Amino acid sequence: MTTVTDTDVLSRVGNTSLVKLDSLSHDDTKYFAKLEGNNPFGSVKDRAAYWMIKDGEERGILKKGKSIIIEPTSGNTGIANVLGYKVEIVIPEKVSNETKEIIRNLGAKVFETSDDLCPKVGAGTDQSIALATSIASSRPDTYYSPNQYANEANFRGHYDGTGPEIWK
Amino acid sequence: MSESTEKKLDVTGLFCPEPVFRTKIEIERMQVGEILIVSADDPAAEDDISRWVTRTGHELVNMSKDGSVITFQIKKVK
Repeated sequence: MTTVTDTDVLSRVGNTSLVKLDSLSHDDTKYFAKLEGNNPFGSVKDRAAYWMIKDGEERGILKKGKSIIIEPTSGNTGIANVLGYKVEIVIPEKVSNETKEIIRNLGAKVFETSDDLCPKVGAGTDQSIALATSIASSRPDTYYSPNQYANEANFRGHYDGTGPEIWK
Repeated sequence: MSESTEKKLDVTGLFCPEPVFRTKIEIERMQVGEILIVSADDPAAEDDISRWVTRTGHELVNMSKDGSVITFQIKKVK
């Protein structure tokens, strides 16, 4: 099992390169690509994880050494969440084994949900959201579920982070 | 004396869909023919667990209520 101990990793989230796409650009319009794959864990979802964790810490509901983060995901945010906390990821079983293996190797526990679990809540990620929410809500002193699908800090990360990186 | 081995799972205090999720995990770890006794107190568990058992082809041997606690007796069939 790999444990992420490099806290400096947080300073490497964001500030990804902005590359001009000459083949698409012309006199009227210039196109650029922001290389989000250059985030430490390889996707734009590092931003959401970083901002949601930061927000949880600032509001005092996420405590290092005490809280367990539980998060529903279909993949990349699960990878991104492994940043110095005990992490449990609830993921649809149909997600690729490669993704699940990466999350496990980063030290997180993986719960897999299937669509036959509780059909009234929906399918796929809806099952994972419902399970993460139910686990966290019955143990509020231990678990914190950022829930990327309903967390304002997720889009604030782009409003306060990605956006200014582009227009500055 | 029953021939089947019985296992117990207490999911009282837990909310849907966690009771059915814990039931599923426990059933997966058991051998065919074994019985799982599940205690739950989330009202949604009555439908969720009994439907899951039927849907997945196992047998709901018995279901009883004592106050708010529902007890399921589930036999692993396959």
